[in-house]
Amino acid sequence: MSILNTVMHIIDSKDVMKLKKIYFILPLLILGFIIILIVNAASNNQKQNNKNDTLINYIDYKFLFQEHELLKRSYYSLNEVNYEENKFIVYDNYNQFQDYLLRENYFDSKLANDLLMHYNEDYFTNKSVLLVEFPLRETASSYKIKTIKSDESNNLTIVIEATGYKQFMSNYFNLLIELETPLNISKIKLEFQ
Amino acid sequence: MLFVFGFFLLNTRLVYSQSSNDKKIVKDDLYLIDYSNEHRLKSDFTFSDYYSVAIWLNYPTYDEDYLVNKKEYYTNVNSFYLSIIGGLDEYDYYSSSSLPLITYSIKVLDNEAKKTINQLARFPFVDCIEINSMYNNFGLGDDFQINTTPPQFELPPDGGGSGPTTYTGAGIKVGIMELGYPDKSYLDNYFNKNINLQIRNKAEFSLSSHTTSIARLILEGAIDVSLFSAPIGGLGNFSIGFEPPPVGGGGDSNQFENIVAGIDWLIDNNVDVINLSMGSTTFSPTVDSISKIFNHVVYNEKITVIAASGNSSLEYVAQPSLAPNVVSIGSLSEDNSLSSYHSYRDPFANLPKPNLIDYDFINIYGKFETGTSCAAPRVTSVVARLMQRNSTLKSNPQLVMSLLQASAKQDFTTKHNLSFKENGFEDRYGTGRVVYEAALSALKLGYYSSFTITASNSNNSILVNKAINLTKNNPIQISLTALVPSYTEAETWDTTVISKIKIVVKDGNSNVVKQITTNYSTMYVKYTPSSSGNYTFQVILLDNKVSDVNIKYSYAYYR
Repeated sequence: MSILNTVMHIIDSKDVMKLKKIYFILPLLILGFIIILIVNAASNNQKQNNKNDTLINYIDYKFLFQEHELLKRSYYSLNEVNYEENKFIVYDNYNQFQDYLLRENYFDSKLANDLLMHYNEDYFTNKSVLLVEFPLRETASSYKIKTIKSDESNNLTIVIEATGYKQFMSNYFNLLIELETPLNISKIKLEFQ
Repeated sequence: MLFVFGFFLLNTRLVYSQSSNDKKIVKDDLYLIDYSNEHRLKSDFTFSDYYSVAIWLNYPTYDEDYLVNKKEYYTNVNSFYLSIIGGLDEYDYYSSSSLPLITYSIKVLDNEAKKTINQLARFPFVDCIEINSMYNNFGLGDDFQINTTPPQFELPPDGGGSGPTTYTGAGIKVGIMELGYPDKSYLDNYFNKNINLQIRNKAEFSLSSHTTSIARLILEGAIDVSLFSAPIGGLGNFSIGFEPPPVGGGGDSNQFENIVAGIDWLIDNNVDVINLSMGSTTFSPTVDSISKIFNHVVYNEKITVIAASGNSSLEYVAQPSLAPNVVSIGSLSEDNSLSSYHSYRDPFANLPKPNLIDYDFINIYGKFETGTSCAAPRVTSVVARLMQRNSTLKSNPQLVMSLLQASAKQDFTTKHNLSFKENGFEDRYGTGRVVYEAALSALKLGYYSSFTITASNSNNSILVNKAINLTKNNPIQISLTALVPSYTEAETWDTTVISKIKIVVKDGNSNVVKQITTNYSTMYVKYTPSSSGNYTFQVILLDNKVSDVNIKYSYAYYR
């Protein structure tokens, strides 16, 4: 018997097969252990991040949505929008906000007038408006802001509670949040509950 | 030392995945949905390339922890995988709290971006990656017009092509439960006809484009139906101008009461079919009241209920669409592909959903809108026309379900790996697209029948033995359905009395060429013969579960 055959015989023996099983299981156990450690680390890291978040005070908010008699937005289709994205801007003066209200075919005239009456020059002397625009695949009956928080990098997270029965058709929203002071915002994340 | 060894193993696994069959993850499942050739925008609009990358993860979703703590589960596991991807700003990548999904956006799909995507696709935990190319058209500062001409749904002739349209839903009563009532003047003007519409109570919110869309889609398919609208209220704290909330009480507090009262009203008016393009997708580990009620309405009142499956991006099917007696409708996009967002999973894993799919778009008030809300009313209109042809369907919702399923087609494109369930349904599209002409043909040719299973039926008895002649490559599709008993509105349905049944297709030599066995309440078989000749299909009772309440079954077939 050649040396090679002898080695192969030893490798194929049952004892070695048991060892093989151990070699197979052991790495899996180690991998599982590592995964648990990483998950815990990630979780702790997240908790640590949460501690650094700052709650943002707001005065009021309004959800406008795309409907025939409400937010018209009639030049815009919902077919091409990116449902994972939102856009935002902070208005801290009356002239800027007028640009928003004067978007062509965007508002029902009564709604635009109501907005104009509410967000007038006096309003912008000591307050500002954060506008967030976003699409959703479904429209709940009611939306409420639960919290707004910001991290050290000015990333804003808005937690929104959706309640009631939903209609299963896409919709486009304008969320107007009234702020006492303008915010410096890098990105906005909307969390729906 | 162990750590070093562990990381070595991890790295080895990744390298292995690149050089083995796992490459299929990249090759087969990485695809690009590119809308840029559709020219929906004005020619003078300058758009920027803008892509969203959706990374779908393949971790399990059906364990108990998931059912109880779905949000925490997804948040933790997604965060974990993000940490493996490594070195990424939390806000560069969006980690879903309700789906096995991580997304991020890129400005230009250049070689560097493609390289990153290919690297991501090689991670073993990545199921597939979707790249959506789209215009950056959210409306902030962009000045453009949509120039879209989406295909419009038209009342199809009875026999397809340019044949006559005999059945238009005349004499059929269709109930719709919606947020507000349809604007009758709009519908009258749109169809140039005095639409037959009755409203239970006039919602203060005078017009809902969603409600109008549903009514219009039903009428486009079946212009002569009588519509009965039962508004459920809602739209509570949307700011509509700066007026008080439009519905008494505001918000959702009285929605459920309105639903119950609306159902009573629809039953009192003897509606034949109810369309639901609404529902609840708020996950709970129990069946909710709206599902129980509608399942009971189907079982007890023999009213067919058609419900949208929901748009929660591969999330669980909505309630009440998940109820076994409710015909759940998923959706097809205008390009004839399975929509990427319709809900399709049954959270209780007892029943396959949706049952069927249909197109899901409408161009209304100059806007192109989509969602399973628009798919359901198309099916409702088909049902109304079939009911006009044969009034037997009015009191046999299980026959309606079987007929639609047996005549469905799979003439659309999909990008997922097909997965067929025990009862013959495909995981995401059920039995396929609803085809009115095919269903009408089966109805006219008498390709349907019913039987009842009682406690005295013995196991292994043959309940149906049907001889049929098939031609080569022309499939036969068979569907069998029973209504699952639902004894009261407040109780969950009773699946324990549904028997185990087998459908067998045999060739001329009595060889079994196709069979399927299930204890689901609805099933589907498709067999494509390789040669023409005489065949037989049989329905065999394998395990009789009936005790006190007899169960009626209806089957239909189409070839």
